[in-house]
Amino acid sequence: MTRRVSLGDLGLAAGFAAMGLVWLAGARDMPMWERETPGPGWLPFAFGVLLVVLSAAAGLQALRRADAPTEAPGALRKPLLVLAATLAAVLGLEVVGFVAAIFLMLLVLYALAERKPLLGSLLAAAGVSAALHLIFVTWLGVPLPAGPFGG
Amino acid sequence: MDAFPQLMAGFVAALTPGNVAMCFLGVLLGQVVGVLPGIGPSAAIALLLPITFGLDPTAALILFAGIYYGSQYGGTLTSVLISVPGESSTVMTSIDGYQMALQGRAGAALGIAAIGSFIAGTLGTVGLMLIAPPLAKMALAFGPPEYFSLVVLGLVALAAVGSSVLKGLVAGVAGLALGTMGIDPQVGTARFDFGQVWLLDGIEFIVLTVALFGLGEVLSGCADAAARPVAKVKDVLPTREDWQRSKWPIARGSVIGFVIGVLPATGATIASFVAYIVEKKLARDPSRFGKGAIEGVAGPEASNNAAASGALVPMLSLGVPGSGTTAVILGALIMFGVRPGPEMFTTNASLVWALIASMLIGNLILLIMNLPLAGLFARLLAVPYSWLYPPIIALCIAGVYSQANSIEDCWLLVGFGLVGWMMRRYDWPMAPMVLGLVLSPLFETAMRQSLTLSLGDPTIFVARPLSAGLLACAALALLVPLASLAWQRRPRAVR
Repeated sequence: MTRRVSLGDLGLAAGFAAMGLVWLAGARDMPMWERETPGPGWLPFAFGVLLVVLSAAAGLQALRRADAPTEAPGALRKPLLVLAATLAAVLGLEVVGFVAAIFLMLLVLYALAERKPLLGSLLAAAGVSAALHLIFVTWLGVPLPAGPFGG
Repeated sequence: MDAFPQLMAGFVAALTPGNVAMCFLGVLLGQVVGVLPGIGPSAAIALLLPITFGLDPTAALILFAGIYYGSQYGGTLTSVLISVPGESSTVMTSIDGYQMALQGRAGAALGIAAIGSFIAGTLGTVGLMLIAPPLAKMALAFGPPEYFSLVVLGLVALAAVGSSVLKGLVAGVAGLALGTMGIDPQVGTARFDFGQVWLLDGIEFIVLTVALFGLGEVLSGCADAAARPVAKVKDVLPTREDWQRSKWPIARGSVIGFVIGVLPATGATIASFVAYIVEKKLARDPSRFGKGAIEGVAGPEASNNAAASGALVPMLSLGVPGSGTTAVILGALIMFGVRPGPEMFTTNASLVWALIASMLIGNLILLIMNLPLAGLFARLLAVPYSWLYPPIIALCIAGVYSQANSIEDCWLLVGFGLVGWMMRRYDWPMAPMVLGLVLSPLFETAMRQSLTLSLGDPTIFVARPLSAGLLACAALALLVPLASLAWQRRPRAVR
């Protein structure tokens, strides 16, 4: 049986370690100690050191265990599609407005990611975006981005 | 004892039409999120935060607590009917509950779970009422070193109960580090703003919570979005024999759950596990367990509900959450301008007692809702997740944008949502990260004030008995899981 290292665990450990390095580098530009009290840089420096050390240990643990289950082919396809649709909706918020951006995101998710019937997808997307507009803009008075269509 | 008149005052506040409506809405939503896959109580509370901004803190707290303990009831339905625990605390229920459903006794399993949960929830609330105020009184003696040690204990304990202590610690420290972004609270230095004005305010708790528990959970669950076949629910009232078999497991589960719930960060999941093991050990015929023993439903169900009340004790009296969801409620309280901790029982006594009274009312509503309406809630399980998750994402975007009308927060939502997905996928606990962010300012202020008091001498944290005791508990919380892991691995090493 082949031993598989969890690339996800390694990636997360590397990401948190990188964050620790950013905190270490940033803290060096701040005062560390002012008279008897830690300055604004002391605690970020300590957190940076801890993050690097603990993340390195988590990475080593992932390498030593190497018992990651095999990923099903295409397991990442749908989550990535959902993430891309979310990203596109956020990109479109200030371009086409909240209602249109959310409507399009919902339509893509229902019709493309979930392969729902087009009419059902259209109705659900329209209903949810209208309900959110009603709750946030009409009831709560939140100025969600209006876009060129004023919605 | 002055608890009784204060409880009566709490009832007066909780029984106003608005607060009763919030209590009903909270337990109903809790029940629904407990039933629906892919959205837990933490995400539900996080998503509701923007909508509740204008609310009175008492009403908001009643709503959030209702979601919290209501979800324990809802999670039972999925465990019994489709053997998929809606909440991790109902994993043990699914073992015998699902077997009962296969034998056509789903109604009896849900009925005894509802009655057990009601009894345990009520007893747990009475326990909360009796224990939290004296604990808070004791904690009034806390100075900055004790607060520092308390935060260390809270974070370490929450990190230590996950699948990996190391991953929990990394997440907790990452949360603490994120909490240092923005203007330094003591001297006003800008930290880690990366030249962006909008980062001077730091990262909002609500953004991180919605991203991790909302978007992260959706990304993790959307790949398996099909509906499952659901067992039929009938005859929810337990028979005399069911009751005879269940009454002591409910009593024992209530006590076990409350005690475990009070311990920082142990929570309802461990409580239900312990209750199941105890019932199996005490049973005359342990071989019935795993094959549809009603005691295997009654004990863990009572235990997880009592633990939910118990977990509110450290949160309300010390300001240290006992579970992931109470960590989110704690952050919400801070957002509403209420500082959880020892002073809460003096400065916000009416809020706390209204909450306690509302929990007694909420448990009664849940009992009424669950006995006749269990079949109706079971139908929610037939709704495929594929119809549900797109509106959850839309709500995440609207909620995060609306808290500061900031498009940049929506970028953070996507970024942290990706991190949350990865963390969930590879079993990294997310609650310590949220708790780290929430407690970071208190941690830093307490540490700097302590060192100012001691003229820079760090032994102040171990020289004061209370602080030393809390740090010793933190060390124990860290060492016990590590020692148990080493013990489990020992035989393999010998071979």
